[in-house]
Formats: sequence, structure tokens, C-alpha cells
Amino acid sequence: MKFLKKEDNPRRKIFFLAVLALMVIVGSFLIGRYPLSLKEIFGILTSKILSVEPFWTEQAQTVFMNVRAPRVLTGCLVGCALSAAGAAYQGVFQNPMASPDILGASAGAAFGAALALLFGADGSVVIGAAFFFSLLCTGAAWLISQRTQGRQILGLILSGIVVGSLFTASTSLIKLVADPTDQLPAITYWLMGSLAGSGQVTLLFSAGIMAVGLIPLFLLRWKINVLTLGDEEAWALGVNAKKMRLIIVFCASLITAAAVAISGIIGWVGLVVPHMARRLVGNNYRYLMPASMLMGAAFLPVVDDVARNMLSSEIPIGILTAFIGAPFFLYLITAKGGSA
Amino acid sequence: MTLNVNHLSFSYGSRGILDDISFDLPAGSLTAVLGANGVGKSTLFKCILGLLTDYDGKVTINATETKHLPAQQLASLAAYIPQSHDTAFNFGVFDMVLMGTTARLKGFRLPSKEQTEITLQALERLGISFLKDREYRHISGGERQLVLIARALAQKTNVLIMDEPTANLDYGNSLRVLAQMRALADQGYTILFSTHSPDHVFLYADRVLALSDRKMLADGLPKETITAELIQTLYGVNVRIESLYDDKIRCCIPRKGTL
Repeated sequence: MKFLKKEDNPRRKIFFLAVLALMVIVGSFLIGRYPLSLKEIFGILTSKILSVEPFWTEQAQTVFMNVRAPRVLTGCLVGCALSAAGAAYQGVFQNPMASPDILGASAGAAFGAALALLFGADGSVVIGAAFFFSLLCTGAAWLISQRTQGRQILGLILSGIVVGSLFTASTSLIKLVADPTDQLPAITYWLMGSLAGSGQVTLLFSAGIMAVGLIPLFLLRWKINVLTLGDEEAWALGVNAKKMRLIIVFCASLITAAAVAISGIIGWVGLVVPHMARRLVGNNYRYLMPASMLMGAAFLPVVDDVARNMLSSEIPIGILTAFIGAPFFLYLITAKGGSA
Repeated sequence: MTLNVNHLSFSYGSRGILDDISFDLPAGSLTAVLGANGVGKSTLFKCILGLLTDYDGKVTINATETKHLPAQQLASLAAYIPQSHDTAFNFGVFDMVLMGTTARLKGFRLPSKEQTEITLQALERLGISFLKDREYRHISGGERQLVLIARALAQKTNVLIMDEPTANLDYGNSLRVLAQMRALADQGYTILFSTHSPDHVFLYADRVLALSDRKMLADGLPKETITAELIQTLYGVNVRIESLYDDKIRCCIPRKGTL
């Protein structure tokens, strides 16, 4: 049975990706300015459940629990979320070029963060503002699209572009009036994307919100297949495209907002990772969705490892993802047997 | 009656599209809809499929009125087969047909063994099992049309609505697709399709519905219904209806100088 083999293969590939993601997480725990050993990490983790006589330093524990682990896991979540959202948007917009910021999620978050920084806020206020304005931007794009004439998808993409550019212009205005000695650099740095601000609180915040969005996306992945065929065909196959698209877009926008709120603008991940996943397991969302999630969860921590270790000062991760993502995407679209 | 359309009228705003259309299709019949471009064939199909619901009149399939049914229930009553088309993403032929089983999957369920079996049977029934490991984008237009028909069979309904199934197909593929449609009707499927070829209607259909100027102009057996006058009214061309082999086959021949 050749067919069974074909059915089996994607599952095996997904299992392989899960192992890879796990290895990346553990590997990223070890790497850093303050190196940790596998034994130390294992000891610190087990001491949370069982009583273990500490053989590690107090400093190692603090570095691992408060800095390293939250940062690596946040990277995992952000990568997972952006990739899942990208794959979902590509499906419901029937467009392989769609990425998580297609409805202005990033533009909204940027505006929110810039506004908060302008008013001297920091930490969780910036995150909250970015999250709120990201959702506001995508929500506005959705509402406007309900009033556009003609094809709903086109209306949605166009209103996303328009609302996004309004927010981008507003961000520029904020940069113009911001104090060039401290506010402007903070805004600029935020826009370049970084996981440096990750801590236990931000990790919990993002994990909670992302679970709300990621779980439905995972469960509804078969329906996304049907949505890619267009609204009328989907309807005739038993899927109410308008309703289903609203659910998918809402979940994808929610996790995108949570991701950009804690990490800033990290481009390309949501476009490139789903395409890598398409190469690996094909376009069937049954496998594509979990493959995208796992690949994203493995990809971003690796890039972040480079971002925080390559130079003596940290490189904003958004710059790296663009430097890696853009050429890699060129390779994907020019290489033979393209899946797009 | 399997598919019943009763006094159906539809208009886009003040522009009337369909006016008082009624017909009954019994199980196991292959019915063609003839009519000029833009006469409302697609609109009629959309009303039947529940894609348009603000029409007057009644559509029932297997004694169930369809107007306000949710997508999932409608898809369990009637299957729609679009013209062979390109897709945004390249799916495997097997996955494409497997999507036909979606209507009967409750909640978050994914297709499993049972659906795999249904899909393999549908491919087998159309004689295209050899395509199952191919990619939908990389097969011919005729093969795609057969795949879409297989997907409709996997939907497990007994009513099939087909929008110009032979559009964009070459001569051989058109005939192969029509022969499959004839065979399915003989097996008990109720098939309603639109076409622009009266010759195809003569060759394969049990019945023809002719739409002209929003109304049902004629409804009956192809041989009795398709006349030179009907073709003149529908399409504005002058033809001769030729009878061949003791009236086993008829065809339309355009008259010279009238086109």
C-alpha cells in the first residue's frame, strides 16, 4: 500500500519536528553569556518538584529561572504563534503570500508600544498597549471589510493594508515628537524586535493568550483545507466560510497580537516557516498546521541564540529573521518543485 | 421527487433574474439546463444550493426544504461540482476527494479510516484510482473534473449539481465526463447540470430545461423540446436539427449565412 506510506510519512516528519523542537529548547537553555550545564538545569528543574540538595550556585538558579528559561520558552511560543498564524492566514485568504501582519497586527502593536513609550511607560504597560492596539487594528480592518463591496477576502486584505498604514503613519508621528535622547531609541529598538524583555510574567501572559488561539487553530485545521477552495465551494462542502473564517482570523489575530506585544516586530517568521513546512509535509493543513507550529517553535529560539550570543552586544532578533528569512524565501520560491 | 423547485423567483435589487421557475427531478435522472450567458443558470444553482436565500418560492431536496438549512446539512443533501479549476494550494488528489467527507464530520473530527474508505470507493467508482497519489495541479482538466465528481460522490448525497462540467475540456474529455455523468444517473443519482451544447443534451440527457428571459421557456424530453425555434429564441442563431441513424442521434447544424 503505497498510500499508507504516504499517510504515515507526514506523521513521522511531525514527530521528528517535535523532537527537534525539544532539542532546540534544551540546547538553548545551555547556551548563553552565563553557560549552564545539563546537570545543573536538570537539578534546578527537579528541585521544583522534589527536594534536592543544591549542587549549583544561587546565580545559576536565578539565571535559569528568571532569564534563560523564560526567554527560550517565550521564543518558542512566539515562533509557534507567528508560524501558526501565518499558515492560518495563508489558508483563509487563499494566498500563499499572506503573513501574520496582513491585517495590520504589527502596525497596531508598533503604534501601541510607541504610544506607551512616549508617555514614559515601560514593561507590562508597553506590552499591554501593544497587545490592545494590535487587536484594535485587526478588529478595525475586519469591521471595515464587512462594508466593502465585492469579494470579502479582497476587501479584508485592502482594509488591512489601509488601517495598517494609518497606524504606521501614527507611529512615525510619535517618533517625530518623541524625545530623541531616550524615547526615540527605545521606540526604534522595540520596533526591531527582541526577546530580551522576557520574564516569567510575560511568559505566562503570552502562554495563556496563545493557548486560547492555538488550540482552536489546531483543532479546526481540517476545515482550513476546505476554506482554501473559496467560499462557495466550502459552503457546498458543508463549511460556512464566513463564520469559519471569522473564527480562524480571530484566533490567528489573537496569537499574533500576543506574540508581537511581547517580542516587538519579528518579521518573516510567519511567512517563511509555513513555507518550509509546506515543503516538508505538503499543503494539507492536517499536517501543515502542527508542522508549522513545531517548526516555528524550533526556529525562533535558534535565531535568538544567535541574536544573544554572536556579538558582545545583543542583535535585535527582527533584523536577524529578516536577514535569514528573506534570502531563504527567495530560495524557496525559485527552487524547483515550489509548493506555493 | 428528489429535487423539487417550486415557483422560484429571484432578483438582485430591482433587476429580476429568475421568474417563477418550477420543476421536479426524479431520482436517477440527468437533466440539462440550456440558456444564454447571463440568463440565470448559475443563480438558479446558487438558490438550490442555499448560497442565495433571499428568493421567493420553495426548494426541497428529499422532502426537506433547503432555504434556511446550515451549510453542513445542505451539503449532506446535495453536492456541488464546480468547473474544473485551479486551487490556491496544490493538494493531493486523494486529499481533494477526502474533503468531500467534511459535511459528515461532526465538530472537530478529522477524516479517519471510514472516510478513507469512502474516498477510495469514490475514486474507484469513477475509474480514477490511479490518480490518487498525484497532485491536483498536475493533472489534466478532464481528470480534475472527474476528481471533483469523485469528491461529490464522497459527499454521499444523491443529488449532484454541476456548473458547466464540460467547459474548458477538450472534445474527448467532454465526452468522457458526460459518459460518467450518464452512468451515475443510471445508478440512481439525480444530476442537474448546465451546458452550452445542445448536442451534448441530445446525446446524454433525459430532460432539458430551457431558460430564457428569466422564465422557463421549455421543459421536456430533449428530442421533443430542442427545436430550431427554441435554439433561435435561446441563442439567436439559425440552425437545422438533423436526425441520424433512424433518429437515434440528433444534432444541431448551423445554417450558412445566418450567423
